[in-house]
Amino acid sequence: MYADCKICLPAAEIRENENAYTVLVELPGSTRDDIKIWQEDSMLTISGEKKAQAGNRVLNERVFGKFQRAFRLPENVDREKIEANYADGVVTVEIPKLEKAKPKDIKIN
Amino acid sequence: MLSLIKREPSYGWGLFNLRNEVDRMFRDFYDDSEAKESFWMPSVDITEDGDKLTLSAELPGVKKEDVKISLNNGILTIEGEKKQAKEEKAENSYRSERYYGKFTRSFNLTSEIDADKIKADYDSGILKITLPKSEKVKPRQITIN
Repeated sequence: MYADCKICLPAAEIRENENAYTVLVELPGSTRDDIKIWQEDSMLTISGEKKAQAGNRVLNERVFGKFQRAFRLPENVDREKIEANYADGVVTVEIPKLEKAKPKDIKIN
Repeated sequence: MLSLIKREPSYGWGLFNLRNEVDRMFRDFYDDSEAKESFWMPSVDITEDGDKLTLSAELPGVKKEDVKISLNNGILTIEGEKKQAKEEKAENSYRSERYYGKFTRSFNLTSEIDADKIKADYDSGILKITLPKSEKVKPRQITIN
């Protein structure tokens, strides 16, 4: 037996710099094929399933099952250019800001 | 992103990190020094089958070279650090349920382990350690003479 959740909420982090927002979600032990990331209107959703391996568990702290996290995208991002990557058990989604939303220096004429 | 909460490092994420939060509460209670080092505990499963134990620890975002494993008098210790790059620290972090900093876990292995045959590999944020039982404790069939 192992700990199971109906819908797991993996730990997430949102960062922002001048050019982009970055969403990071911890999904240790997943494969790229297990993870589905999609954007629909202003929602960005990351979901999938963390599959448990069989075995006689003498210690069980890890949680397995379906997971999902959804984030509402702000207006100022370029939805066409969202990119995702998976490394060391962390999904990183880069959401670039629209050119007009980036900070600019304004010259005095 | 809607419902953004400014990052508050001591703010946890519900039940999933309850253990971390309770640990943190105790630590904060007993340690009021200004420079608290962030410290977390990875989730670990240990499975046992006939001739070996397999430990799997969730270390998402930890680099392979930042993990250290040792076995001493039947105590297996994994320790390391989840590092955050300087430029990442400089960015605004709106919401963080993730933990950064050092971690350590120790396990008292009840079975006798063949220390020379321990194998460890790290893939997709999972550290997997295979601990073969030593010959003398392996289950064996006894034939009737």
